[in-house]
Amino acid sequence: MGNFFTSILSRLIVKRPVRILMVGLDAAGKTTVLYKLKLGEVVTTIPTLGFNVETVDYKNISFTVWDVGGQDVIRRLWRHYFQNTMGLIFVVDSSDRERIQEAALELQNMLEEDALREAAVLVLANKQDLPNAMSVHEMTEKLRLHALKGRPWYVQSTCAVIGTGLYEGLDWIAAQMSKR
Amino acid sequence: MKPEEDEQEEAASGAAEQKEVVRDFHQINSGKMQQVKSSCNSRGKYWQGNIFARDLRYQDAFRCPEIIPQLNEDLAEMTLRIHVRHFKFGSMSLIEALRSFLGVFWLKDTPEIQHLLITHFSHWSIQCSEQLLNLQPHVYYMSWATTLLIADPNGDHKGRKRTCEEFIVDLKRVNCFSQYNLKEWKDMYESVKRKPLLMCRVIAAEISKPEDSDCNSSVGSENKPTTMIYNKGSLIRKRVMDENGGKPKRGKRAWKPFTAVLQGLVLHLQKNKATFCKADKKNVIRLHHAVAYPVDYKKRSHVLCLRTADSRLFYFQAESEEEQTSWTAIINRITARYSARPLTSSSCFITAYCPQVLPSYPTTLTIEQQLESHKDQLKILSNPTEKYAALSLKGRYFR
Repeated sequence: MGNFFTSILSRLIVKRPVRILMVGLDAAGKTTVLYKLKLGEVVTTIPTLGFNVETVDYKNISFTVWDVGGQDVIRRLWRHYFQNTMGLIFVVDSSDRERIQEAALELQNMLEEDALREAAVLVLANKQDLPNAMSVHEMTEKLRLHALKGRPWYVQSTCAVIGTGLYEGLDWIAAQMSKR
Repeated sequence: MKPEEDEQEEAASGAAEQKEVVRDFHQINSGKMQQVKSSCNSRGKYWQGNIFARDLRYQDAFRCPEIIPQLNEDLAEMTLRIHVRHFKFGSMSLIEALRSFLGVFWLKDTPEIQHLLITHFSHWSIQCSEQLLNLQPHVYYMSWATTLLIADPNGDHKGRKRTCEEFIVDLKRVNCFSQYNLKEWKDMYESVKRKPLLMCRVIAAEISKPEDSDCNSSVGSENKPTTMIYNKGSLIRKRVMDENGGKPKRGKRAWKPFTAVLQGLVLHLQKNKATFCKADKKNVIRLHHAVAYPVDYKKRSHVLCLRTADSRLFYFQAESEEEQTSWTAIINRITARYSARPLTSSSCFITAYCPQVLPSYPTTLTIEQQLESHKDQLKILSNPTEKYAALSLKGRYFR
């Protein structure tokens, strides 16, 4: 009986750690997303060399978010962060139509990795406030997400500078994590 | 007692060790960071400048007084150099190019940045129109002289416009013109006088008074929908419903008089009539995706109802029937024009619940595009509405 109560209490009180990896092309807004979630404010960022890591507590889950730099020369380092990753946040600049194919390619390559076969994929279609931003449906098609089989994915349009949409994305990841 | 003390000592020594390790780690790390920073400084600046420039061009909210401390020295140089490249001047005349350039960004009271702006503008406009590069000083001085017609950075001509003679004297003083002649200068002056250059001014001072912004409303109302004042008046407010359908506490439900100022997508409510300051954040209602409609209220007349995006509900009593209709019309017009498209989501599970998020930033669409987007929204909504309307009410609850 005591065991039962501790399990319930721990479910309510103890925060479950979840490791999340956040990647995307350069200047997609990953660092802005991370610090908007962590601090609730917009920080002026410079291109990330290496990574930023912060824990974000939300809905009784402690997300450890790894924000990895996205410039093309350092993209090959992404796979060093794949171990034990339970969720993948892929940030895309919705107004950058020229490089959406490049983003799709990077995403497909990454999802073929064995270490990520269980990871849930959250795509943040960022920078929705800019003119000519792609809609969610367009983004889904361009990234060829319908072809992904046996893996949960979710596309959320966001504006990281204002902060709209970020928590809705986290909601989905939290729901996926509590299912496991 | 003893074992406990031992444990404490151990713990203390452990903590000290850990601290040392952390310190060492920090030292190594900071050394590395220095290296990385110095090696990547130039590249970092280029990128930051790039990002700044793009934000300057496309985001109205970015052009605020807080930008000035950010734009210093090298960064300003880099930012403005990239900023000017966002413009396509082509074969525009100098005055037209200047018009389109200054309409986007101009900092008042900061000569260094003004100088940079004009310098880069002159370089870029010459490159665009494929003229000889040695013409750059001419374009530079011409642009400055034209800008002086309205900007008056030194403040010598308080409130008074420059005359044509002064304009020509200015130009003669720099005295390196071979290409332009007097007639051209006069034409230029006349064209500015006929149609003043519209500058999207970012003022270094903090609060612009409402009177000022009224005058500035000609300065690109399309550019800055967020600062224009659309309506003013006194309203009596009643809070009917709080966020997410909660009922306000007993004392908070009463009717309270306010001075209301509708500025951009925000309705400011002030208790004090005399002063209008934006600092009062408490009684501010964001109007994005809101809807207003008149209601029949038994105890009071001229009441309108306002429902906001976070499903708060307010009643406002206006002074007269005209006031009631004008407030309703203006609020509905502003929200319809400037509410941005809702942020949607899609999921791998087709039946999954995909919430819509209503963003608070103003839309960047033109008025026609906005109309189209509203029509699309209506189409999307009409399907489920028809489906629900077709359902018969013969459930077991209605037997």
